[in-house]
Amino acid sequence: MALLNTILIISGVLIVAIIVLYNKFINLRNAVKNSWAGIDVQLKRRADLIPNLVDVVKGYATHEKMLLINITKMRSQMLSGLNSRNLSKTGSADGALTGLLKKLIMVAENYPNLKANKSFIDLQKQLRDTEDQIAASRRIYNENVTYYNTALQVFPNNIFANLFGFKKESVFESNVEDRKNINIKL
Amino acid sequence: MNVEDVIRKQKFVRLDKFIFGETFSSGVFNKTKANSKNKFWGLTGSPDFSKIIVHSELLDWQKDKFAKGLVPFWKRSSFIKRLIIFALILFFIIRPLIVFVFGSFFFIFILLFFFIFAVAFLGIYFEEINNLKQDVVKSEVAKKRGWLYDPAIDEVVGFNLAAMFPKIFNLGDERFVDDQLWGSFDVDGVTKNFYSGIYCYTVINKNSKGGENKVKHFSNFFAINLEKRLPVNFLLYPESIFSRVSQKFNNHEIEVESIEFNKIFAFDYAGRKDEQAVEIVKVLSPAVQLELVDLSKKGKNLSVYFVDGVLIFSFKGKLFKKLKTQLIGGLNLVDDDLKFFDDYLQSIKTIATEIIKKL
Repeated sequence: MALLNTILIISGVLIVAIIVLYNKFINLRNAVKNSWAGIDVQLKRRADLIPNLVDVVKGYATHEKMLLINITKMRSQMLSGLNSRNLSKTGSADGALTGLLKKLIMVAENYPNLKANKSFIDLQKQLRDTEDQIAASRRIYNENVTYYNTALQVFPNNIFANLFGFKKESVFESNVEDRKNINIKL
Repeated sequence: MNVEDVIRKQKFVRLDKFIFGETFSSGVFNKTKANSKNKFWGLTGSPDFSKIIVHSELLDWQKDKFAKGLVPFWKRSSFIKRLIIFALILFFIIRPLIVFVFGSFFFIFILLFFFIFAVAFLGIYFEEINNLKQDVVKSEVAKKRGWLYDPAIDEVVGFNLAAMFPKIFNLGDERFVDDQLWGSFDVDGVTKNFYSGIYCYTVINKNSKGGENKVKHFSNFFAINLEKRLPVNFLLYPESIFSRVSQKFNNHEIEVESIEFNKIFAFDYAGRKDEQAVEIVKVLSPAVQLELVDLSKKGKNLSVYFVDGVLIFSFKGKLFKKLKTQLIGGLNLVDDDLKFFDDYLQSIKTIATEIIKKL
């Protein structure tokens, strides 16, 4: 009888521990998903700003056609990466796009009329704010992923994580190398 | 707050003329501030210049008095001589006498008594020097940055803060505010006013013998006037088991994107969650979350009150305890101390900038 009671108590504790762990994994995974949604929103917001920016620049900087084409191309790549939730593709396109947009702002210095254009100034400000928010959202997402992955990997969590089929998530990195490798003919 | 109170606050302090290597007059400086066009803002209204000037002049007067006063005992050449004589007398006259009458154990007891007394005395002495140093350094920082500083305590402001912002200041009894700073900085090209100080209160507990135990608490607060109304008033306070239970019970828990933020902070707000949560999440953008997490690591138990057009940040305990500036050998404000102040203000500035963008 005593043995049965002991077995029942241990089983009860184990079941409660498993439920707590399972809920913890679910909560962390949802937090990772939510923080990804934050990046998604900001990247799409920036993607929405780009056509307007390209339109404004086109009117003044007629010699920057290649740059504008590259921006449009990278925007499409980034959106396609976002839609397929391909982190590496999105990160790569995001890095390249950030570099190209910086280049565009620098190039605008050569066109005084463009620089003074109110729409351009507004778009520039919005773009800068969005870049800041993307950076913050990215940091939060990566921190959340680290929390989640650590929770899955530590003992004895790893046993139950494997049992329930929880998988590690990848961090989101904006590929800096891609920014460097872009050649733009000006 | 009267002259005697201020003097009593520093009554143990004795510093020599080497301490203040330069002419220091916060009274004169604050008089120029009162006459300038700068407008200073505080949580309970504008600063009372007449009071601040009196307090600053008192600080100057104290320093003058100390300058003319006693040389610290360890710097006096006679001190070493007296110490040696005292040790000789102790060992060659008192020791044989005590050992002869009471035995050697009693002499060890006497030595221990002197040791404990000396340690306690030095502790009080250096604590008081440190208090004065805090006042002097803050005064110097204020001068460098063009801010206004009041070194004296103010019970009226403490009372008013508790009445006006009970969520964050209505704690304990015998409240007062010390080391008030008024200043301004640029937020996105616009000048915003800030106000800071140390809020002190006493918690009185009845003990088993029917007596009272008094424990003094301090919190360092910074307030910034956004001059734009926030869509919702709420308090962020340190997460604990109690806050978790209370939030669950009230259905007031809010989860933002950052796991770390959710672990550090709990929410307190009035009204229904479905109405308020959207507005709160809007204010707490990812950049604000990150900055608040970073700021929470700079001090103990950070609480942030978002109320009307004002942000109030409050840390438990005193923040500026370990200042590197040395008073002895001439007052030279160390850059690290200046950076220490700037660092906190920078975080607050970034948070304010990010919030203003959303308003």
